[in-house]
Amino acid sequence: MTQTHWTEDSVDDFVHRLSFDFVTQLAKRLETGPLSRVEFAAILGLTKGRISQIFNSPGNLTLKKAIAYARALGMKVSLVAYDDDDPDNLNGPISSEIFSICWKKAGSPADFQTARNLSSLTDTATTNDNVILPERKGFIVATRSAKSGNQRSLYLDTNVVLQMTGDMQAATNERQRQALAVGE
Amino acid sequence: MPQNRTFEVTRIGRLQRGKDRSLAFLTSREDLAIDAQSVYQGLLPEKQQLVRDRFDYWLQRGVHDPYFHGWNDPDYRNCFVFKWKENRQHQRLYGFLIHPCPETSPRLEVCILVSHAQKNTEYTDPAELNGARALGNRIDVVRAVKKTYPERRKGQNYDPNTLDRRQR
Repeated sequence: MTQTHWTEDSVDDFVHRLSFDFVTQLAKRLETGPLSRVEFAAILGLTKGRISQIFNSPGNLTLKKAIAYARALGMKVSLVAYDDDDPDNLNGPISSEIFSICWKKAGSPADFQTARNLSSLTDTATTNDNVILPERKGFIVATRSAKSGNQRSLYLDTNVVLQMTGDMQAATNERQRQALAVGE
Repeated sequence: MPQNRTFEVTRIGRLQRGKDRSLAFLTSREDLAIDAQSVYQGLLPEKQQLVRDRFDYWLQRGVHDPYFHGWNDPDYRNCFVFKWKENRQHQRLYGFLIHPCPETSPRLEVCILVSHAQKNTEYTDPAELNGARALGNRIDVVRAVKKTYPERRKGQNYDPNTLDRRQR
């Protein structure tokens, strides 16, 4: 029998999990950032003990508090609604940290145009010399040597591919056009 | 310690579906020191939720030492701990990591939780780790793990998170 994730029991449970994911991001920022827990507490007008309490047991964090905590650390907050093809919540929520990692890896797009162009990153693209295939963490660029005819594969980071191709959407569109032309 | 111990491994249900990770409790009717499951089940609902959050985070391959970690020491490389605080006390669930299906799902990594400890300091008592390690090396414990996480048979879809496989 397939069971739902525990956050499916109530909205409060789901909120609890969101709160946990959120404070985990803050705790990690505190570990690596310039602020100490004492300084962070001072900005918020709280004691160090209260901060530990919040991190250890976030409970049901309100949006207002979430924003206040994030801003104290120089961060911003987005509330993301997403469809992960799991309407019954069998798998559990995707951690907010994963969204943040993906956003950074995509070059931190700040407008819709840039974000729309990024949507093509999941497709295969062809430029004049290379075939660019998406890989788990970046891209594989396959190049055929004009001299020997041998194929050479090179692993590239997403940002490098973006710089190389300029516009991945255009490259993908061209690839699709070519595929249609040869009846692929 | 009782001489003749029997072991059972129970998958923890309703957690995050990790692609290659799963969590389970080891229990033994004869050995009350193997108490991770009974302690977890006896936690107040909000504390159990807190521990479940940490379980989910590990299943998603999150990394955050204040929540859980293993050890680099070769002697304790397979040992693992989940941590939280309650009433200013450090709470720990100790266990061991195992790859139960090397033939058909070599990437599947299972954390088998064994014992609970409550302490005043962050310091780890090596006895807890030695206990978890010794259990992880026992053939009858490994057999119990493999009973819960059997090698996949031909044509069988593998999902380390569903509970129905326990009956097979």
